[in-house]
Amino acid sequence: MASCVGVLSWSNSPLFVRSSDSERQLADQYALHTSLDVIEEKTSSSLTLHAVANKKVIEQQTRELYLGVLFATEKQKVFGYVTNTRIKFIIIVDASNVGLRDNEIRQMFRKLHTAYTQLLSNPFYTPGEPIESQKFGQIVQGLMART
Amino acid sequence: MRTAVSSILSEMKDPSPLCFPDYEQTYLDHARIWILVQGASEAQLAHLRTHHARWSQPTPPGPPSQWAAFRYLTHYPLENNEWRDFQTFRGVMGLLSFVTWPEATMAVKRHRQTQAQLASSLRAHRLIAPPNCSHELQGPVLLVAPFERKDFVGLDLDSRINKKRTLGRFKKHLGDLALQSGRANEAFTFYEAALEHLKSCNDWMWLGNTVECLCALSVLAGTSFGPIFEVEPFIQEQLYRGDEFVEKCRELVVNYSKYRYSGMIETEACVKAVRVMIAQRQTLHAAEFLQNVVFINLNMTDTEKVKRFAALSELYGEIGFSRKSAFFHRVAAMRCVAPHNPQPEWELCYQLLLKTMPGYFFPMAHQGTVSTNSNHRVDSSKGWATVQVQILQELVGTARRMGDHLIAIKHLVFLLENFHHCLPTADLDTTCQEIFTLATRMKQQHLPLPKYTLHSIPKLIKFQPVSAVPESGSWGGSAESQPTGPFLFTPILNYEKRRKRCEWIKGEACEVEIDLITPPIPISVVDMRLLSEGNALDPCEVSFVMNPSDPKPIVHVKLTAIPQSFGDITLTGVSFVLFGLEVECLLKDLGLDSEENCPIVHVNPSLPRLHTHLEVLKAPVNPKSLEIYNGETLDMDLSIVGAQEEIPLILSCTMTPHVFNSCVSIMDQRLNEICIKSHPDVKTRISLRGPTTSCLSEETDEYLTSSSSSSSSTKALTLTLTLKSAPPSADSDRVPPKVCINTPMQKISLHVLPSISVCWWDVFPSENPRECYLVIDILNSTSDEAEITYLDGKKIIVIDSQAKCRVPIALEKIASPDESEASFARHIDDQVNIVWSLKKLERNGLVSLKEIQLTPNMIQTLSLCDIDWSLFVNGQQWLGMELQAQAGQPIEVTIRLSRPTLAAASTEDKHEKWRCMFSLNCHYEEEVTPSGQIKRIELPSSGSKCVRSAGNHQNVTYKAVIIAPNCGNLFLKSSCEAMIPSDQATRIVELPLVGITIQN
Repeated sequence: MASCVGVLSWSNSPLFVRSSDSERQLADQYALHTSLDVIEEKTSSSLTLHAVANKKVIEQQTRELYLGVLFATEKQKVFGYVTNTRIKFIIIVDASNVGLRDNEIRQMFRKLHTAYTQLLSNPFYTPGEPIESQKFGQIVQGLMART
Repeated sequence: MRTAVSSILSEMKDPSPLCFPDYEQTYLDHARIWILVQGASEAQLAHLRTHHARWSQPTPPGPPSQWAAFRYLTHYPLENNEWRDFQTFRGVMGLLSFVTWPEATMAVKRHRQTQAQLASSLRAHRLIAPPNCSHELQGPVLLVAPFERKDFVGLDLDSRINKKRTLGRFKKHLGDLALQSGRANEAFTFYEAALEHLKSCNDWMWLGNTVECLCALSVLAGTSFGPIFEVEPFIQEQLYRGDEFVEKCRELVVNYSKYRYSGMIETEACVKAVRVMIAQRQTLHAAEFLQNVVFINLNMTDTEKVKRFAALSELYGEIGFSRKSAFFHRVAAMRCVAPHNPQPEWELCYQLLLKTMPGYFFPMAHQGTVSTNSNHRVDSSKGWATVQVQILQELVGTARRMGDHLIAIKHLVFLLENFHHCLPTADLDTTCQEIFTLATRMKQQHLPLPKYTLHSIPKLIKFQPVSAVPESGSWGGSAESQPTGPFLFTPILNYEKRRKRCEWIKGEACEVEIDLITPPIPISVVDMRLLSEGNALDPCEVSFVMNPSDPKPIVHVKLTAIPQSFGDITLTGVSFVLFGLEVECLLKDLGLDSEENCPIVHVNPSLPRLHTHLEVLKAPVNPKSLEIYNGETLDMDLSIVGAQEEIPLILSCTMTPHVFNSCVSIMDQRLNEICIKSHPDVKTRISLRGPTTSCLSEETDEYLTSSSSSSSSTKALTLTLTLKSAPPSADSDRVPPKVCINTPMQKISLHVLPSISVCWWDVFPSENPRECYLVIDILNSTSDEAEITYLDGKKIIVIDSQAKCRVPIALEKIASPDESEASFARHIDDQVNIVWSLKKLERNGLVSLKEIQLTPNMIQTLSLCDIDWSLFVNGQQWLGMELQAQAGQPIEVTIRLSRPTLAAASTEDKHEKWRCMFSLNCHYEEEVTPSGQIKRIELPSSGSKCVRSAGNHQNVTYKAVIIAPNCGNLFLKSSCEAMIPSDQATRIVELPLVGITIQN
């Protein structure tokens, strides 16, 4: 379903990149990298909005984690999701996958977020280090294989 | 935003014409008159643009009659002029040609040519006048976009829809003209009317066009650019602002996108809108419109494509999307040198690739400017190493294609410095090879190469200057006081220690120890030397090879340098030649410990330098490791060379383990510290005695009791000789001169070998009452034949390896006042001198008698008694001679005791009597069998005791007669206990065993 799944750290360095097609790995890296511009813009704009609003509103309003389509090209669509700790999840979907609904994408991100949370519970994983967990890899593999 | 299919209303009849989108266009250009300038130099253009600024940028809103704004173009594709009916401002109205005399005819010819091409739109050449609407109002004609011409062929032009279309388009045209002549109010009215007409006839293309014009008007009369036009308040209210503006822009783009051939117009519309949105900081909207530009499919030449992507990345850069900007710069760069491109532009490609750097090396962009200078270091763990490595490799490849080796090397070094750990070994090897090849090529062309900084290959992990002054104590003689406190550890102490500067000496070769990590590829480091600031330092070069197949991952290198003057030197790093490049590795960039971060060494003026030389006599081979036998004495001569005057020094010897200290003597003194004076050619003799077996054996008793055991194991000891300056003595004011001792400490490791030892002993009375016999068993534990010399060289015996030999030694008795065992042992040690020598090895030594332990009986025998004895057999005094007697005959034995010492001390009471109790044991030994078995028979008289007494000055005599029954050996053993009343002490007098041969 997803052609590429990427997890980027709060400092925008890649923690995990998995492409369904290994030949497209580099191209996907470029796509992930460029999508950061939009993510930063979207998250910072929401921050400035919050800053304008009064404090209570900030407390109540939590930023929507799902950012939607970051950008699209003729071949693929790039979706983004940013956790409250500024960990970025990016899913790239083939543009030919027309039947895909927004809800399905959200569900994929939720799964990814849960997997990441479980990864963080592992005391042997240092946050900010590249992810090498097999379990996490399997879940991502599942997201990419699912039809 | 864009509709899925580009051509809704225009059909694909022929391949779309080439497009030349104008990415510079802004909304202001809607209100300008475009003028093509030919043959102008840069200076002339600049003059035009600045001196006619009040026209090209009409800031103060003035009355419409004074409006004149120009856009000077140096290049204008004819294809774009075709769109002048669609957007009136596109029609180039003026043509300016600058003529220079040499090419005058050519320039005139070109002017004519262009004039003919632009004839339809051109109003004037050389002369420019603003257009007048009234001239245009001849009546509406159907205005068409270039691609529409064919669509209208055969159409009913008189239909109601067509009339509306014609009118709507014409109104829009009038609006354009009004705007260009500065009548904004009028323009708005025309546009509004056009909008009405066009909406009713679904003329999407022109509808979009009109909306775009209204957007332009909104921007020009709005607040975004600081109003250029003043409009009536009611119009002001109807202008687009904020989200409505974005919405309208989106609408017009959608309208344009319905046509296949409108790509260029759509692109320009997007670009114009984006510029406004950038100014309004509507980043996400701007990004959306830019993204739309990417989708627009245009038929373009490769050059135009490059321009398009470059323009896109510039715009992305302006909205702050540096990564997007970098991405498109890279796309543009790749276009320049696409494989199908017949004329690849490597220079342009390189320039574009260079522009990608800020985007792809974004994390560092926060810290300042990004450059590919090799000095700049990137934290590659935080970035997109895969992507970054590719960009760098592309930069290198492009630079090589350009033939600029210098730039290629610069990028390669940067790649190596920052991404060496991301590269697979093969790639790393290729990179290094490439650097080498390029560097070699540069050298062949005699081109200068700059110095590069490289910290990662090979990685320096330790930089430690070694003090040329060996110890603080031996330097200058006073620095003995180490701060001591109650704490085993305090950080303050440590800090002091760390601050301790390294001391070097002018003119001496001084060292720095460095550790380098072996890289995964074999490299050869050539001419590595120290870099320094401050005083002159003459570094020596070291070349070495680092090979990953070496088992040690770390290579230790010692760098030597000779300071040329005294003072402080800051060591900044090392330089070396790697892959043919001169490379510097600076400590400040290495992130080593603060201690090693630019260490400062202090260079001392050269001092009198003493060299010590240790010579071991008899062992010339390796004086650092010696073998010594028990009891052997090795002499060493320590000579101190180089002193010009007398300098007091302290030589101390220590033996570890500490127990063996007594084995060393300096100049025949059993001291472990001695004050000597350095003098040219003075030798200090140090004698080293092989420690005795008892010292070596921890289980001494066990060893001594089991006579058969031989200690074959060797023991390792270390002798340390330390030479240091003597502290100033209390009695003289003279401060000892400063010296530097080259090797203040000599360590000699010793292996102690077992040699000749005493394994059993006893003491027997002798025939001489003043002497006794020490009988010892001597064991040869060596593997060679040993020669034993004793009794002052009079007696020599030879003992085989591992054999024993019993030796009697006559010993004078002593009258010890304290009767302690130690005094007797010392007596034995002094009296007996047994020398062993291994002839084959030319080694000799003394047999140590120190381990002899005396029992009370032995001490008894050893001590000199104040009672003398004499023995008479058959009336003859026995002095140790052989005695013979006939069986059956009586043998008369007389023992006489006297007190020789009493004569001197005459105070003794003469009437006092002293008493002696004699006992005589006789036994008889007889050979029973021919094999020599001996039968011992006690005589019946044996054990008889008898008491005699006499006056103090008289002798006590005891007589006994023994009859030997038959042949054999008769042994007489007699002893007596004497009681002297004056001191009430009992003295035991032991007499030697007397043997008498009995014959038939």
